[in-house]
Amino acid sequence: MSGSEAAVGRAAASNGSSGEPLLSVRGLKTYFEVGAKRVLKAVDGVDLDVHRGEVVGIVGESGCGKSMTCWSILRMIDRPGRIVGGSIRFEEEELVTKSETEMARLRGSRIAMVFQNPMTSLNPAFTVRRQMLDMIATHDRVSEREATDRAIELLASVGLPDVKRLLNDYAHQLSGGMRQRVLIAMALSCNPSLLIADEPTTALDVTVQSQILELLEQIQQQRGLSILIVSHDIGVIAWLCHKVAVMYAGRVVEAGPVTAVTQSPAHPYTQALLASIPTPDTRGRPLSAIEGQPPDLSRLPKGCAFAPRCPVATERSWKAPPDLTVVAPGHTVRCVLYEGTP
Amino acid sequence: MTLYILRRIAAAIPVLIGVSLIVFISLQLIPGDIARALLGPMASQDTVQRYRESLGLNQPVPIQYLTWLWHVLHGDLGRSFTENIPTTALLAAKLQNTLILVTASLLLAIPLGVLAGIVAATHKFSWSDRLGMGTTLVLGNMPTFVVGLGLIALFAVQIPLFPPLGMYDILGSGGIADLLRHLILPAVTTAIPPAAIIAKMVRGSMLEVLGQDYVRAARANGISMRTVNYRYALRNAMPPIITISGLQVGFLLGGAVFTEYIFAWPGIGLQLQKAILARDISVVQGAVLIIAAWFMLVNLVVDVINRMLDPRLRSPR
Amino acid sequence: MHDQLAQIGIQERELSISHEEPEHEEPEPSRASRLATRWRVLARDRAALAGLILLAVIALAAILAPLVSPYDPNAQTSAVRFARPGAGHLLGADEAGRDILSRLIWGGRVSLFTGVAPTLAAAVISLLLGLIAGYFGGVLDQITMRTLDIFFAFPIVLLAILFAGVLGAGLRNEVIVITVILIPYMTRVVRTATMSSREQEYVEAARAAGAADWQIVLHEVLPNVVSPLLVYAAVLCGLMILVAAGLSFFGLGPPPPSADWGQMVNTGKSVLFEAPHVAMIPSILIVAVALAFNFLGDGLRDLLDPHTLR
Repeated sequence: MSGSEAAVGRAAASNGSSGEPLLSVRGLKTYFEVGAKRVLKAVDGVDLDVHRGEVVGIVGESGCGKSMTCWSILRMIDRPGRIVGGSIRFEEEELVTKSETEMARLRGSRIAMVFQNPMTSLNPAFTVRRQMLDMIATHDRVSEREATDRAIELLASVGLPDVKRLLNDYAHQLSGGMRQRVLIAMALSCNPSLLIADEPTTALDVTVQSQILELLEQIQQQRGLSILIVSHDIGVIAWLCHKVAVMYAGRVVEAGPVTAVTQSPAHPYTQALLASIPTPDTRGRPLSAIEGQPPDLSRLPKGCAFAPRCPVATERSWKAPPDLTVVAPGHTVRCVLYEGTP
Repeated sequence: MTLYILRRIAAAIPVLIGVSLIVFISLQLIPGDIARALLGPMASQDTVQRYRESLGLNQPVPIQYLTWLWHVLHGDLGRSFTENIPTTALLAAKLQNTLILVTASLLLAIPLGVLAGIVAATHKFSWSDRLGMGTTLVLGNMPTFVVGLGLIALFAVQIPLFPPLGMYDILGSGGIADLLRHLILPAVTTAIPPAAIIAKMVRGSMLEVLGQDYVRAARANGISMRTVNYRYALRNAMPPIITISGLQVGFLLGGAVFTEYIFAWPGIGLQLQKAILARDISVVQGAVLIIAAWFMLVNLVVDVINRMLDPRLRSPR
Repeated sequence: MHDQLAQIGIQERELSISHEEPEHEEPEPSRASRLATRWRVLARDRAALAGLILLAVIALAAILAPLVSPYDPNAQTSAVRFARPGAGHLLGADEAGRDILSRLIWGGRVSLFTGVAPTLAAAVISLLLGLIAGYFGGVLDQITMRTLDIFFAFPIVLLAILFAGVLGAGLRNEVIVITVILIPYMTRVVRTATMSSREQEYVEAARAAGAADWQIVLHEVLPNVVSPLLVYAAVLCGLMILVAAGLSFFGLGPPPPSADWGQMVNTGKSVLFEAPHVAMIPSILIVAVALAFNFLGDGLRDLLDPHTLR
């Protein structure tokens, strides 16, 4: 555990922030009790730190628990799911024990979220104005006029044209990219200190994807915002993030500065993930895919969850979950190959 | 929107003609000679023949239909031979009483059903949801006459709070208080089965909306559960709720016929029951036509409201 | 649609079904084992099972009425008029001193028949109409659908009252009336199912292979239409028991002294003050049977849904 605390993020270092991180997740466990004897361990002991001004990414296949980690931080896990253990400290307050009312006050104001599917995340029955004003009015006591002015300013700042007309539009009148910009503007409307972006570009066209990523980068730099971004696309992570956590079957298997993890990946899963991205070098050659399926989260193997698909699994892999090992300053991995090495 | 309403009305015309055809033709199904059936076995052959001619029964059926339709379009539904007054006048007087009953039932059924459905949906799988949905299941499967008799047995016999029958003259001497006293049991009776079905459907459509991304997004943005449930979700669940409520109006109109019979409520339904047993054909035709037209009108209004609520259809770009 | 369970790769319906037995991947389960699986699914669905048992008991009692009925349903014993439920008469006696239980058992013959027989008859007719309209489409379909639209403009109970009113009271007429009012609703279901299965690729393939229309309808379309129709029929059976009882209650059912449930409620209505149980007991039975058909319909839907079979 001590390894990940020695974070050496670019921004963190440059901001010179000391003491407790903005967000500090320790041993988070979110389980879904789906049957009499069936428990799905969606998040199973995740550690994560986000310092002020830092962009942290979570990468992994779908179903690895990365989205569930985000929803757990916002305490928005629906039954039959439940946070069963661990701690989430945010701005030096514990979130796991907060009441629902306190959490509601915090959501959208101090931690805001950008969603996976902009096509369905705006309410189809209300205008953009209504939704933005509702959001602002929920958290700040301002007049309708002030709120409208703020909405106009925000919408313009995320690069939307013809903002005054846009306010009276309904979601169906906007393109996917425009909707995601509106959702980002809404997320920023109460000046949050942490922005959680759950696959913010997955549902968009390729050209629009890069525009949204540029927008997020620009916002981060202008506001010195902290961002926790989730993606299955390690390219997205490499573009935006300072640090990255690779998740597999509800656990963080590798974490560290984004350059270290992408250039010298330690975990066999990370290596496989990187090998599956097409690059100019691999043009013309068949892409390597990871063999096999992600495991059933209710029947995890006793040892390393990746062992059944791992090309270099040893007998030790099957016996007990691997310990956390520091392979370089700030770069940690959970794999038996590195156990015992300093 | 005006264009849409006009189009909807135009589409309703052939259906309305079809409805009138069914009502007309069904009466041709009466076994044997209608005139004989109406006059009874005691009438002389001569009387029957004259009666046949006075009803226009000696003409070919299509001519009979057109003649009848022509009169109906002019507000002439024929003459009730049991009451010996024009059917239109007879039914108009009863229509008002039925309207009072049906309106009161709707005012009970829709808010009650919608509210119960929302509460159940927002408390999904809690004991109140389970209890509510169990009750709904039983009540929704109760025919109106069982509900009515059950309520009488309970509230007029065991605990005599309300009069079981005796609403003879709605605008009589008793005044509004008397009307309400007599109205409560029939209105509740007619309202209960549709309310139960509305509750079940509202729960379903609310649950569907509550699972949508934009509802989660609103929650993640800190919008309170109350606002999310009652403004964001309800607004989007509105179109199916209105459609269901509209369909239940038809159900309710059918149920009201039984309620009127049980409580001797002097409306169209009671008149219909008397007319059927007495074979008073013009009254049967008239009553059925009025109720069917009413039902069609409700469906039309439902479609128009839903169209007005849908921003995609209201302001396309 | 956002669903946290779907995100972690689990279907909502898996929640209710516990995973006791490990799933075997059998390529072609035998007919017997498929039936066995279906039975297990039904047995697990307690509501459907309860409905099935209730209906079986009532149907059996009605069929064996001469053997199981404790009294002659029409025997009037003035000494026991208005008898409350008790030892001599389990469910009491009515205003004419007739045993209510015996009347319910004998009445079950009429009431079940007027609910079930028309549903079966209507199912056959609707199957024919819906298959033709849905499979061939075109003008034929248009005419059928526009005609059905006219029927949908009436509240269903009103249509029943209208037809029963003109045809006159009696068992035969009641069956005809209920059959007629069911046809539009069932035809619509058959047509929808036919149209969706007509678009399937295997139907295209059969057509390309040169199969005749009647072969396609019989072998490819019909099997896909039967399940939704069966489920719908079970639910409608319950509803039609209510409608039939309503008609009898209205005085449009079989004439006395034959006792059907709706008519028992109607006669009980006049003595509601003296003896509420005379009307209430048959009422409860009517509602229970309607509910039983409902549960059975829901159970059948789960049963016939290929997703519950592995």
